[in-house]
Amino acid sequence: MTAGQSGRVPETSAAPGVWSVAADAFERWRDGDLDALDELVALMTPVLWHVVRAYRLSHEQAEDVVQSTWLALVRRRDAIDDPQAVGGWLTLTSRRAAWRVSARAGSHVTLEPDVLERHVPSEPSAESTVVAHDERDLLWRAVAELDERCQRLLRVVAFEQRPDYAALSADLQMPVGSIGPTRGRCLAKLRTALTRPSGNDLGSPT
Amino acid sequence: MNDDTRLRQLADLWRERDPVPDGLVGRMQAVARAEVDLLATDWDHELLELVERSTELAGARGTSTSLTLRYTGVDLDVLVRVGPSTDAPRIDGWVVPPLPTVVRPLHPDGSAAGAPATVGEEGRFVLVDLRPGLVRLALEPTDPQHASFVTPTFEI
Repeated sequence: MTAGQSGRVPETSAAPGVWSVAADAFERWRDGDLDALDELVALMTPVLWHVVRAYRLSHEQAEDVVQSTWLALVRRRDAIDDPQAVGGWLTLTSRRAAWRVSARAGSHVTLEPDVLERHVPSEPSAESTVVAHDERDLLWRAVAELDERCQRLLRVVAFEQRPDYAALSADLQMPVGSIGPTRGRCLAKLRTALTRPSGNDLGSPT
Repeated sequence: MNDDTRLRQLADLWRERDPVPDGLVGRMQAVARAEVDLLATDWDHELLELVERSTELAGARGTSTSLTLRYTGVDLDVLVRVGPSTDAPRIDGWVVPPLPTVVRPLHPDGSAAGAPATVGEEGRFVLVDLRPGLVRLALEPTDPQHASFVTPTFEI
């Protein structure tokens, strides 16, 4: 059952404990410790950055969205009953805002040239041939070859502990039940791209 | 390699290739603290949500940029155009619906960033001679039956 699966998405790449540390900081802030708010912001801003950037926003758009998320938290603090929910509340709020801004930007999605360059597999050169053998570059290239939906889904699940699949399904325009399988397919595509003979990475069309 | 290991590896890669910008955490801490301070006063303004942000080239030679921001709130939409950047930045704004409203430019701590302006009949307002830096706009309808609003901060 999909709803059950979404609750069991394993703790992924956010360092284990980030979410419970966030809950602890939130609780202390709610009890009057302003330094704990600084801790919460320091802890969760990097997570929000990566989640928001999955929506292909520019640096400036992404920073605006992260800012709006923190303003909303300060204003709606009392609406969060369970401190353990604060991480999920923050990422969900930021994804909604990112989705709004990216939908509005429509076709003229803005990407910084440097990021664009990193997304487009480059022409092989003597230098890049050497660099491409580096495992991280190969992985980066394989990610760049994935379609936009896979890139977004993988980035969100890589940084969120338990993504809200219902909200994700709206963002990604796919049924809730297909997110788990899609995640699996995206990872499988990535594996395929990585196991391809390295010669194929270097520009020959077939 | 199992999926979790792969996702951890991907997260590391994104951290390395698209890192959090320098100073972002500090700016967000300042934003959050300032909002706590403002709310501790009798500040009663609803937060407007950003729905659009774009920059475009402006000026005769296309050497400067102007920033367009669009916000939305309950029963209110605000469009703001900043720049092109000069020594004394200016903001042109439009409010829909065009209720009689006072617009006050504020620094994040709530102090004035320039003289207030009044929304005209067509919903237009102009703010001039602003002090550069981070600002937010407070929109206060003259009819107290209507709610007041405030934008998030943006840079001029």
